[in-house]
Amino acid sequence: MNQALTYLWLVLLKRRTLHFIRELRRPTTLIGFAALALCFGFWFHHRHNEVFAYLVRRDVLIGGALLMLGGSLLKGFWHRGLVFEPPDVEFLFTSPFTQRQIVLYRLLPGYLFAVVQGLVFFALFEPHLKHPLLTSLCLVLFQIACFHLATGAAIFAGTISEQSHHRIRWMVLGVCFLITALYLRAAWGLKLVPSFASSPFMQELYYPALTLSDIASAPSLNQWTLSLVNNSSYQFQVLGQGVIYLGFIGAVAALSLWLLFRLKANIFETSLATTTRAAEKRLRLREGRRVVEVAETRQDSASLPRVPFFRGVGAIIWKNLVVASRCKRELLIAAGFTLIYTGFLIALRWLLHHQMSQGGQLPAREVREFDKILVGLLCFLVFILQRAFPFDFRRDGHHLVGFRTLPISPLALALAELTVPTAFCLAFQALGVVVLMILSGFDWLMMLLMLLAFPAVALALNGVWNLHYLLAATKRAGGRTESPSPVAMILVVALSFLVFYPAGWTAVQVGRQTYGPTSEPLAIGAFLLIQYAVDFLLILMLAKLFQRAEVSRDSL
Amino acid sequence: MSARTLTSSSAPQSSTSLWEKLLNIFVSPGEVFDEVTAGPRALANWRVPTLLLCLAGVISLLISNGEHTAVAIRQLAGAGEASKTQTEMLSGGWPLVGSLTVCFAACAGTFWSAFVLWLMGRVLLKVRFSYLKALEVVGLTGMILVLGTLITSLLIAASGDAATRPSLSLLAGKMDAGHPFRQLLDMFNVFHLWTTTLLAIGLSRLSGASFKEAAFWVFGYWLFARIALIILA
Repeated sequence: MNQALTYLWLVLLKRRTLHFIRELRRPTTLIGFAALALCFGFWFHHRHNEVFAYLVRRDVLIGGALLMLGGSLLKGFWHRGLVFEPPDVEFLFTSPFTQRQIVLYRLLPGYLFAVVQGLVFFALFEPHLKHPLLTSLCLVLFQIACFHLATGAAIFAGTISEQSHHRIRWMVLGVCFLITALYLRAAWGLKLVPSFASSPFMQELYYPALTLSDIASAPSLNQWTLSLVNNSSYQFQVLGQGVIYLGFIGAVAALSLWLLFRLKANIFETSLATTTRAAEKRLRLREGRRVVEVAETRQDSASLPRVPFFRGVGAIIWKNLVVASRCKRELLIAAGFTLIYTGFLIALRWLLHHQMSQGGQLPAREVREFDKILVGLLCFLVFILQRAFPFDFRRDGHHLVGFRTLPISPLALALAELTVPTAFCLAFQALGVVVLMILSGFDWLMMLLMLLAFPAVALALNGVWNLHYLLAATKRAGGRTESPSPVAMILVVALSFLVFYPAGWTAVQVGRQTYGPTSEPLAIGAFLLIQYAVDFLLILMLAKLFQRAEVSRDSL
Repeated sequence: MSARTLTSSSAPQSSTSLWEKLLNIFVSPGEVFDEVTAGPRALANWRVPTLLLCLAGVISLLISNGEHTAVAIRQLAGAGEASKTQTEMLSGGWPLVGSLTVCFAACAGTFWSAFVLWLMGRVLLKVRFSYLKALEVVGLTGMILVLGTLITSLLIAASGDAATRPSLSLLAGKMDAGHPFRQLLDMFNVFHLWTTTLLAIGLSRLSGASFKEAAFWVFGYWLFARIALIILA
């Protein structure tokens, strides 16, 4: 290996590492990295689990090795030549390096990857291996061999014609599939190809390379003939009925088609209008606006607020309340959903009440536990309600530029944006609580818990989703109108649950460490404390993001 | 998709009759396919061989009726699925059912194979040619199957074994007919290889591609995909 190339690689590695660390300032990169780190931490924590022992079984390792080999071969062969960075091409190809040195330089990142992979393997599977160090070293070397194979395949693929490459590519794919299917059959007993594929009838697919008498003497044909002999009258009756049904429905289909063709209306104008509407709807969806178009009705101006609370940054809350008052459809849907959901909880509570009135014995403590579960389920309602109240950055994302001209702090703005959806979530949850109280008599502790916990949960969820809405709005303001990727949506949904993990974990730890009647209130108190702290951090993050959005807009 | 379109601009030097084509396909298939490709559509080119094939299939069933019926009835009686009366009825009705099946298989197989050839040309070789031309090629190739069916029947009649085939399985001795290795050896049937080669020639003539390229796809489908299915099923 040439020393200059080694130095170049080390310098580039250092630069990329620093660039990656700087990129962690971006929320999406940070979330992705944190998710990966959390995943690894979780696996490392549970590395003594049986699942890990199962993963290093002989047949699983053979499967993994086959996968690595096949993947390397396919990846290399697909590339048709080695892939370099454009500056690398300019520098390396014009400098006095030998081909061997350049290939080795190209392989260096792969070697590093193999070493890191070996370390991760060692860390996770060390408890389940007889010779962990040796096995990890073997993995590193095998991975290196796979990189060599991929590089060789890429170089070879570059030397052959396009036609041959196309042909060999299919051959390699076919062979890989065959090996995979053979492995799955031998090691796992899985048959990718069903057993009827070897039936004589399947030879028909390869006509004329077949033996006709094989088809005529197929066992299934004999069995069918026998069943026809046994149940001929019944079979014919069933067959006759089938033919009648098929004929009737076929006639209906044909008749409807005939009638359709006889329609004299002009389809072009109406289709044009419909197509335009559909395209507009798609565009609105992509830009994060409402899918349902608001009817062009005259809206009276709302009067200015007289309460001092709605002045200053409170004006944004007032504006969102006015918008909410004009969105009766959303509110009605949310109310309907709340009543249906609460109805389900009431039915559960009524069932318990009914069973107890029939003589079923249940200690008061367990009834209280049951009520707690109902309250927990009611708390879950906010996960769904949050999406029903778009009176936050979802709508106001289009006005980010206008908001920055207002004399208000980002923190106040973030709070104002979260206020209306959170208040609506709580109001609808309160509606559910009131309905539920018809059958359940909640004690003061439970009421206090609901009073404190529901806002914490609602605020957290609205905070997480508004982070997503604000990021999307920032992208739109930057001219990128693509809809959010599925990965981003999954991340947001995952974060909606993970945001409660710190508080939940703390509550569990406090509950374990304390004893007696104070244990439960202490755990709940710890949960609320941590959750409100997390909520505050989320609001701070929203404010910070809003600030950054301002900066990026300025720089445009 | 940039596809080449073949036109029948070059007229054949001399056209042969259908019967000459049916016989020439055994000795000079390339010339026959050249003529089919360049000539106008002739539905008799696939209808007559398919009818001959149906006839050969029925004759084959009649020749080897005893062996096939015995094997079939032995299977059902062995499994306890058929009583004595039923086996008698079956032995009486089986030739009819078998003949109908053979005729249906010949017709359906011709259409299917023509479709596969047409699809290979369209998708893999990026060449457009008429489906009816592919049908003619497959139909004429069926003449090899006619010969193969008759020879197979004679072999069965001579050996008394319903599983005898003109293939490498002749070397397998008394190996069970359901054994995967025996099935694999059966794959290397002289007539199967012959028909596959003819299909490759036909595809190369229809598409204008080289024989090697056409053979790659045709043998890939008609031979290797089949072997893979037998191994994996």
